[in-house]
Amino acid sequence: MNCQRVQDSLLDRLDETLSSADATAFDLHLQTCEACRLDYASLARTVGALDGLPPEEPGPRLRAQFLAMLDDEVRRETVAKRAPGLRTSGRGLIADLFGVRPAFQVGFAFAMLALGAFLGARFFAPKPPAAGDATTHRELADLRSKVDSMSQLVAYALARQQPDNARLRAVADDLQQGHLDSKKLNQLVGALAFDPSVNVRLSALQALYAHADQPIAREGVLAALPRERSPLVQLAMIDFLAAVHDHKAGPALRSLVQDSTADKNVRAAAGVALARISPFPYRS
Amino acid sequence: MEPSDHALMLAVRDGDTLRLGDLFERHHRALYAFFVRITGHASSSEDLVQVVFYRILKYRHTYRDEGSFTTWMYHLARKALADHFRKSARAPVSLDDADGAHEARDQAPHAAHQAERNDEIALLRAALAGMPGEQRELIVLYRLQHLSLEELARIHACSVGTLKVRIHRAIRVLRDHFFKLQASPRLSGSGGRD
Ligand SMILES: [Zn+2]
Repeated sequence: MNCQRVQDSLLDRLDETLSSADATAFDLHLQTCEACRLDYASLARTVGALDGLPPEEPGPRLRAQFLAMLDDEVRRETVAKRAPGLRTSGRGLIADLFGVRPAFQVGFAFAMLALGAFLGARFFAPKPPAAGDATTHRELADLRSKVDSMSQLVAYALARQQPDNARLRAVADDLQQGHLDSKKLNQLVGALAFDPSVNVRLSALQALYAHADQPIAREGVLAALPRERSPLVQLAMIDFLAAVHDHKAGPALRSLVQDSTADKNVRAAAGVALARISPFPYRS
Repeated sequence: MEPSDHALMLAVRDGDTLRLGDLFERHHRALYAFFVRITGHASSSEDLVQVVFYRILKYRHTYRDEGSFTTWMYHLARKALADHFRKSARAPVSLDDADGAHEARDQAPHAAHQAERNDEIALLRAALAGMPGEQRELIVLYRLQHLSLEELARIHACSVGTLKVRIHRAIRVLRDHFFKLQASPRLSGSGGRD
């Protein structure tokens, strides 16, 4: 191989896509040509650094927004199919939605919840990140307003679906399970966020403990915490977040510590948990 | 066997709208990573992913029988990105640069190794951010998103050979940026801020 061919094959050699004969010729050339050797080494370092970039993970609100958008679309299609040109009542829409796709509703409930947290964050953010152009902006605003108007109806419908003890039994069943699929986890997260019964919420949280290694469980607890009003459940949630050492819980815990309307035991527990999850030990 | 992306997208087009959820689960992370590595901005990137899936839904009737889902998705992604940059006139920045994360780094000698690695990541991000948009995008799609040369050639409407040459050139440009930044005593001394 001459320098030119080696230059052309540098990336192929790195990716090991050269034939073994070419690879041998390539390596032989490097042994005798310092320029090519240095070139190869610097490219190898660059590509190695590229491959070593940490993965980029989106936050939970992305899935939440997407599910809300999809749900909205499916709902509209269903209504259009049933009664073209006719407006149904709000109750009818919900019945449509839940009648058609019961499993979907819980994902949607989770979506509402995460989106609520997200909208709150946006509202109070000093400088909302500007969406690109006017079209983009309008599309997003449109989505958000649709989602917002649905959320109360969904929470209501979820709560009314089954009597207390039936919901409790459903959650208790999950407690026995060693493994839960993401649909089941979503249901637990939905129950934790939206169920009107403190018992059901506490049981859901207890069931989530066994799955604390799953991001969906941790994100679910974290998203439910700001809307929780029962000190009992708040304390249990704080315990959960401290036990799993979720660094992302920092802002939510900090705002509880500072919330003068929160129960004083809850505020104290949040402070302790905050110190436990903090990557740096507190200096007093 | 799992249905292909193409089969799922045809189902979405033909009325099984919920299948879009499967496509979202398969692709939203990669798409997010694509945007965040180019814009350097997490929440804008989430918005951009959302816009792409919104447009997939909106324009699903235009998806063709002989289409390729990833090609189409990245086509929409590049358009969304172009809109984003055109209107916001926001130059891409390195994620770590934005909040001065480098300032207090050398105060923990026991964490020297980690700091070194963080520095390398920061330098590489800065080097990427300093590249021309087209080249940066090529590197991200090829090396970080692992799109095949064939897919990339379709997206860029050029031959595989041409594309390979461009990728070679882009990686060399990145290498030069990267080594130049490493040689300079301070990251911020190398231009391209804000
Ligand atoms: Zn040579």
